[in-house]
Amino acid sequence: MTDREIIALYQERDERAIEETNKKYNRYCFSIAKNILYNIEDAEESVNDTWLRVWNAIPPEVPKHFQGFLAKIVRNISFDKYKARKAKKRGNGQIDVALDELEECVSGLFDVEEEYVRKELEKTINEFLWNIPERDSNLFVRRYFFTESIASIAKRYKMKENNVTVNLSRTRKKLKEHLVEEGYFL
Amino acid sequence: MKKEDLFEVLENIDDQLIQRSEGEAKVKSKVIPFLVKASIIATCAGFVMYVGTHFYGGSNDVGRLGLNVEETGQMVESENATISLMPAYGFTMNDRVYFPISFEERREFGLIGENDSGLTAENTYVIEQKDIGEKIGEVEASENDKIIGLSVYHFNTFPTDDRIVILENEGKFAFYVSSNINLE
Repeated sequence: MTDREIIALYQERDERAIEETNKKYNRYCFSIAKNILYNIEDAEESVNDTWLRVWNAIPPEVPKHFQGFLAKIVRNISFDKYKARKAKKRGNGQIDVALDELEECVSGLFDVEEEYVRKELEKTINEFLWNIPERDSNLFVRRYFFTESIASIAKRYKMKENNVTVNLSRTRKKLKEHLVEEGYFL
Repeated sequence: MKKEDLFEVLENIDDQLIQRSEGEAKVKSKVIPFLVKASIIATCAGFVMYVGTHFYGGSNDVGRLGLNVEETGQMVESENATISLMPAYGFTMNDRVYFPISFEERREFGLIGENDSGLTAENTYVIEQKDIGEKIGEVEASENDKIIGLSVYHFNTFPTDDRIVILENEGKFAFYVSSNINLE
């Protein structure tokens, strides 16, 4: 079934929408959740929560890119679970390493509690990712959106792990420089 | 700003950027007619016969013959690293054909050192519970009836890659690699 047909089922409030979404995207969403949570049960729970949130979101929302829409939701739910779990000191897996890597980009960056500042920052980062070479951008997205391991990214793009690590490090440095130029640092 | 905040900001990167990162790596698999499925299964059977006739030859002395362990059709990975004898049958699942991993594929997936020239007990990757990823499905067809219906899992090092999978057989695990042939 195409994404368009699945979305139509949601719009008709037909419960087969969830069934079809699960059939087509369970593995995809599960892998995103598992990269963040590093726990099968928690990841499965995140995926189930994702279906519910999608059911509540469509309509009124009509995602243009259904797969990306699902990725964002499952990532958001999984990260919330991660934070809750971290409070109980149960954190581990790729996410901790990825977060530590991101830390070098945020040291000195002011808080973005205001919604409009946050939106501007999102826009700035999107512009940055569009303006760097495609491969660099893809590696960054796989690592910091999908929280994929370095080994998995290396395999995906047929690169050596060391090259992936170096590439990501350079991109993070460039991102920080870009954010400094854009005035996000005090 | 905390690193967690930046991670959350990254949630809203453009859909097209997400899509693009998916797209670059996709490998187009060769689509072949359904009728060819039967001959692929036959090929799996033929592979076993070939292994039995030319390699296995009634001997278990892998070192003496100078062969890779998997070429002899033995399942080598298990939780306790024991080597158990098992014919090297292929199988089909989700319209793909899987064969036991070869030595070169072990190298490709980083399961063996760059300089290793043969598979030994020392350099054989031992599959542990932490390596077992999400269940992908079950063996649908194989010349070996005993593995039909057994569970197949992702390898956690490549959690989204359907090419390399792990077959569980009575508590023992073995790598299989897709031939990249799509039977749809």
